[in-house]
Amino acid sequence: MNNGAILDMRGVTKVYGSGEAAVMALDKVDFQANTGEVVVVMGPSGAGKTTFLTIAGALLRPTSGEVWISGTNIIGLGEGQLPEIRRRRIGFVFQSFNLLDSLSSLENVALVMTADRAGRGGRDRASELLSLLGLGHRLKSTPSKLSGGEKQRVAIARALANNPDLILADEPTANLDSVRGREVMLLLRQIAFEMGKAVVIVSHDHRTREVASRIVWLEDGTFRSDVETTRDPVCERVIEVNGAPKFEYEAAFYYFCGDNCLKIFSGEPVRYVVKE
Amino acid sequence: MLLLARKNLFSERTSLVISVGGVALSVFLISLLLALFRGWSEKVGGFVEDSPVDVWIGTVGTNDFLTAASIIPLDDAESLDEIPAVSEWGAVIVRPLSANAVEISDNGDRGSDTKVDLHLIGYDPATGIGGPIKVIDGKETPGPDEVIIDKAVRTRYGVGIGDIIDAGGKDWSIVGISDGGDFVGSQTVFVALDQAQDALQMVGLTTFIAMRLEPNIDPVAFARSVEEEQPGTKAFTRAEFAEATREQVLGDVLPILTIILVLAFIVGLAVAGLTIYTATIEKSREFGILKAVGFKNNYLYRLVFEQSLVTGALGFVIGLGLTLVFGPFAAKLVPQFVTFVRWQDVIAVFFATLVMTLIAGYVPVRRLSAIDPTSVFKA
Repeated sequence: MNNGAILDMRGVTKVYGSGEAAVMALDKVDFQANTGEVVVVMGPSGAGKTTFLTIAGALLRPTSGEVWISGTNIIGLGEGQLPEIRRRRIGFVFQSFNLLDSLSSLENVALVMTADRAGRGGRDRASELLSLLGLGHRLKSTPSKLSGGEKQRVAIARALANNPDLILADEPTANLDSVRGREVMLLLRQIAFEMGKAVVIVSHDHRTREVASRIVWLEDGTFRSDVETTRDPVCERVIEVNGAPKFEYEAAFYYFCGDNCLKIFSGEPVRYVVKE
Repeated sequence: MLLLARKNLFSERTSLVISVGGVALSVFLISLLLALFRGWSEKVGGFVEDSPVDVWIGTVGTNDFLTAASIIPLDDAESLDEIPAVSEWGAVIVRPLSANAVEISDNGDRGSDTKVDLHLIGYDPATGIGGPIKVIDGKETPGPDEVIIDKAVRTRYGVGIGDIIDAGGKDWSIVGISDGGDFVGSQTVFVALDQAQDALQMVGLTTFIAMRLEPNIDPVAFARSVEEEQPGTKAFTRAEFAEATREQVLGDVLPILTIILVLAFIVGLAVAGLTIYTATIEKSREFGILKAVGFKNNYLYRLVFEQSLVTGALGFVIGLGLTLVFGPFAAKLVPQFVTFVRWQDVIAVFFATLVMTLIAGYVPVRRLSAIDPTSVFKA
């Protein structure tokens, strides 16, 4: 049923309320995210992005449809089994970091590994992960002593702690400046490509296109199929075709994130065009 | 203990101080009141319990040692010598009276009078029955116009050997200090039986007959047989008399004390419950995060209960410590503040604290289960 996808959502519908007050947040949504892929879900406020993410994260049950995570249909699981799915198979990265204030960076990461049981193993792996993300010198710092970028990297380390197949990120750059935001996005791409995770990012931030393998547009509870995306051949960002600057070369159109990339391309197209 | 429980508890210092302080205050109040009651109980019943007397006999209507209006003629008292079960007996006069304690300076001048409430005890110095439990300073027995005072009289009124007790219309020279005769509300002074009879116009009379029995005689059976064979008498074993005296003096205090104990428990419960509930509300988002990343409700319950129990344990240790320190300190300032901490009461207070903290921990459980983990997606 899951066709090898890490996250496979089929015909997922979510309706809040009932009768005349019913609101359809998601309407027969199909979605897949695969290993080594960064999928960015974009859309206006109220489009259903958070509902989509919470259903994908086994935090909310859909009204109908199926949700498969790493080969398990979580709709068939009881309430008592879902926390274990969340802890073992999904890593969450939140907009406001959501670290536990009283714990150090190391303890925040180790906590989800050990389920707060005593054990050396969790702390060793947590230390390893934090060092890998450039926070080896911040192991004992509590969140109040970390910058926004550092907090988000701790949150990413926590998301990776149990080596899940799926990382769900909710507006991960929203509380960061442009430099730190870009660092975080590149880190998420690195995690997808090098660690073989499926990374799903819900974001308003158009800069996230830079790291996307795919962009999907969620609006009024459904994914729009009329949004065509392509990759800028110069900077390699995923961009919407509609409205983007374009350049014709050897009977093909190339689209760009902005005039700058267009100018660079037009100066030496052969450098950026991959011959079949 | 869970890491997060420990960290949460000790990282929020103010909250910790308030919740531990609340429990500690409650434990302090409960254990201090219990210790005070035990201390009074010990003192009030102590003299009768420690006196080497097996059976006390008074007239019908006698309820206790301190307030008995008993008057027994000693006309046929010699016949008691012929009772085989009695190894020794003595007449003991006990009368409450107001007196004056007078300090005498080194050059013999009288100081000012200090009004004191005493129990004058007249006993036979030859047998020692009904006399001081232990003399700690001065003469072992009082002679004519002499008195031995309990050390509580010395502590409270500042009189000692060489000073005077003006009681029953005459001056008694203090010749000794005894221990074990403090009834909290009043203290004992001991004079010779004939001196007491003269002063109290009770010649040929006594308040009690106190008896020591042969080793093989059952005091309970003997006391009952006395009451049967001597109509108009009331006989008590040592334990019965001590208990009756306690009941008479402290009986009215106990219901009041019980109400204060319950109030102290409620105050501790309210403070602990409110601070734990408030801390849970404050940490709602963190609990939501924990749920979102895969922790079950059971973990959250354990988190709160562990914090609650540690709060209770700390409060218990501090509260009990305060009682142990404050009791003796207060007794030095106020002699009536007699405390005695029994290990049985320590265990009882420990369990009361445990119940208090378990209830306090249970308060936010519904709140915890209602926390929606999806709320953490809101910025």
